[in-house]
Amino acid sequence: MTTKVYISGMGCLSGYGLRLENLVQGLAGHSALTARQPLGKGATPVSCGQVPEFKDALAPYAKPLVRRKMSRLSKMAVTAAGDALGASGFVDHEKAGCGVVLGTAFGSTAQSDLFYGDFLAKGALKVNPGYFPETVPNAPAGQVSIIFGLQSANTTVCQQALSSEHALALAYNLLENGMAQRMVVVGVEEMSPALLAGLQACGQLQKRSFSSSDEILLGRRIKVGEASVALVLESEESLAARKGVALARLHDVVTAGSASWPALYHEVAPAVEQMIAGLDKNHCAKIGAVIAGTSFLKEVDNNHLAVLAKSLGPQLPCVLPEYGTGNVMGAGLLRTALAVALVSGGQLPCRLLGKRMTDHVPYASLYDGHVGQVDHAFATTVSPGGGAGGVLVARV
Amino acid sequence: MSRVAVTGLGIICCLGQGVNKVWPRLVAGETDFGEISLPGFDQFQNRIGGQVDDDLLAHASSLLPRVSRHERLGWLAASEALADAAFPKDLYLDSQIGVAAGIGAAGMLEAEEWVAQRDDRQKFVPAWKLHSYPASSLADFLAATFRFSGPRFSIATACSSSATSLGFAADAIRKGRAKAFMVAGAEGLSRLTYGGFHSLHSIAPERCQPFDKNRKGIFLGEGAGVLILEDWQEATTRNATIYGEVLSWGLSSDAYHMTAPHPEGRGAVMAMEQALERAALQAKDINYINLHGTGTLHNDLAESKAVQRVFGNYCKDLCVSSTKSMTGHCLGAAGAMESVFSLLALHHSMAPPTAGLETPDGQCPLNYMPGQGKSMPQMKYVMNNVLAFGGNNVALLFGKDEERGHDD
Repeated sequence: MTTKVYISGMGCLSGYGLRLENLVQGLAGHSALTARQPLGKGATPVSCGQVPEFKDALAPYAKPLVRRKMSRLSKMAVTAAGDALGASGFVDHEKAGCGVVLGTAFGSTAQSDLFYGDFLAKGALKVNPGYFPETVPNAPAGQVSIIFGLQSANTTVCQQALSSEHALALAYNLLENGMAQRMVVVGVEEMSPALLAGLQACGQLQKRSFSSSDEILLGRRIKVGEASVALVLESEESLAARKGVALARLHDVVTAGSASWPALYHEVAPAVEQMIAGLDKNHCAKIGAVIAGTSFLKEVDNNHLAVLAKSLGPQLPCVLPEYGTGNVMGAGLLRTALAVALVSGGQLPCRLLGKRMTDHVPYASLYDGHVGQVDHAFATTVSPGGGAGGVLVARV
Repeated sequence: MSRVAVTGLGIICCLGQGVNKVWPRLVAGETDFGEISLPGFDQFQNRIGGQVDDDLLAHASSLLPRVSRHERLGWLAASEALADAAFPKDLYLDSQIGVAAGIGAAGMLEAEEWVAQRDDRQKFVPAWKLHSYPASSLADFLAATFRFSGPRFSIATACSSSATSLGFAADAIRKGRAKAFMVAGAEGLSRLTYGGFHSLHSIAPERCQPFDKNRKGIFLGEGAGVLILEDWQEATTRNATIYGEVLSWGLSSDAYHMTAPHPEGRGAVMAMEQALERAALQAKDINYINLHGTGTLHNDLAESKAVQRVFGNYCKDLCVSSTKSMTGHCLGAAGAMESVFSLLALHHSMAPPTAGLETPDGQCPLNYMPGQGKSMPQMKYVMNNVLAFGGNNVALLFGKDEERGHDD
């Protein structure tokens, strides 16, 4: 990537609550997974990293009348975006030149379920029309643009667990083209009871009884979590013009790997190898820490980590945030935010990249050290349906 | 930076399957709307729309029994577009060919069946019906089917989805990140989307008449449009048929309202101006615009004002039309389908008309070409406007297959 793009603000909601600091602190202590009940008769509780109540955090950005019309997914996106924009220190006229790209794997399943349930219950003539607009996946990006007055590009990308990586890549493309000067990138995923019911019916989710919250059990099913993370991206010119402060430089975003249908995981290793091959070798050698996405699927996680260790070095510090938050699917920007935290002076709990994961790991023994500031940090994950993605950020 | 050629087109909609079938009907201003016969639609008072004939889907249904309606539509159009592009199998590595998809409701129709039985266990609906629910399912399905392992992404911005996909895919080729791209937009009718527009009183009771004084709203449709984009150099070297060049695009946000366009078309103006500026073209260079043209009062007025603002005095020389008046509004597929029509317009130097326009609306003073298509031998540059829920605006700019200076 030749155009210089910087990250100048972050906002974060996760199972550990509001703000990145709470996520960092929480990861060092315990798992955020708790029991949640999917919709439907006969559904059994599952483990899920739920974002705690955040209405006070949303209140400064959206008036009650506006909030009432928003889906929870939109509320999550607006809260994270508002915090990121606030951290960047934009004034109003600078926001007008700003765009938004949002990544989500599933969109607002709760709102679709609400509207469709109302439709089934009341019929076509009496269904509440107010429920409909927020069923579309781009509603959260629309709300972000309306509430913060962002008049530049506005789009939403859905590519399963790589949604956030693609959102970053598309935002970078717009900055590189000069189609926008500043972009808010949001990665958001809501684990609604409706979505949990669907995932459970497809045999995707670990049952709550399989393990306690603080035990990481690797097997053939996943544990999920919700999150909303926003980063503000700026061109070098924009940052200089407004005398903004950069937290990190976005060096590279790579996605690679063939598609499999239906979603299978046998191509994890080649996809990760292809992704790493796509990185600039000079930058690759400078990576000081890895933030790796995990799913609780034994073969996927072990293959992902094994290829990373082989390619980047087994002694690299590695952070596995989704064993604490649950697999956040399209909200993978959470990993990039942690990478930014590392290159901007933060400290995270870690283990060695080459240290093998056993099938059953108490959360308390997942990490055995801490990693402090590094020059380059690499956030990476793999996706069902095929493919791997990674984001390389560097210290300014 | 590389130039981007369009070398393959595929289409399926209520007018039929295949470019050779659909284009003549479109140019003749034909419509083929009728009562939607899908299960569960009988509770809608007005259920006229652009449903694809079941016979056209029968082959795909037998070959692909466990995929959703929108994926079958996408697969049919993709197969046509690939055959049309006809690039040799060994011309590109699999990893050099990307897939970009745009969808609206994705596999909602099938998911609805599952949801309806979720709380009522009397009828068993298998969970595979949910596999196409994620918005990424079309891109993943097409990439896996045709074994393309290059960049792959899915845009879900309602009506502007596949237009946005096309813009980003062209950029990826320009910057050497891929040699070719399959850009697909596909939409199957579903009760959720039909119920949504029905509840907003946006659906016309009898006729879809964009820009007509007596307009009463939209007709929803279903279908798919697929375009094969290739690196210009590769396409010309192999002597491919080039329908046109993707010159540039613009993308903006109204930042105004979730469902209504900005009354002055502010975002649409920005998108059109951005596309013109990036292609180093002037308003007077554009010969034809395929408008978003849904047939709602708000859209028709805002879009007409936006075009007037950008094109000013040149509006008198400009031909515009709404092909949704013949295909219905195919939501996530609209951008790709109307890009196919825009490129066919360029290729044949023939602008398609607006059907159903009988009584001009004084507030919409452009040349919307009612009736039949118009031969335009001088046609060189065409724009495709697409607007969407959430305030998304996209303008795509295509040029005729000619040598021209490099703009980027």
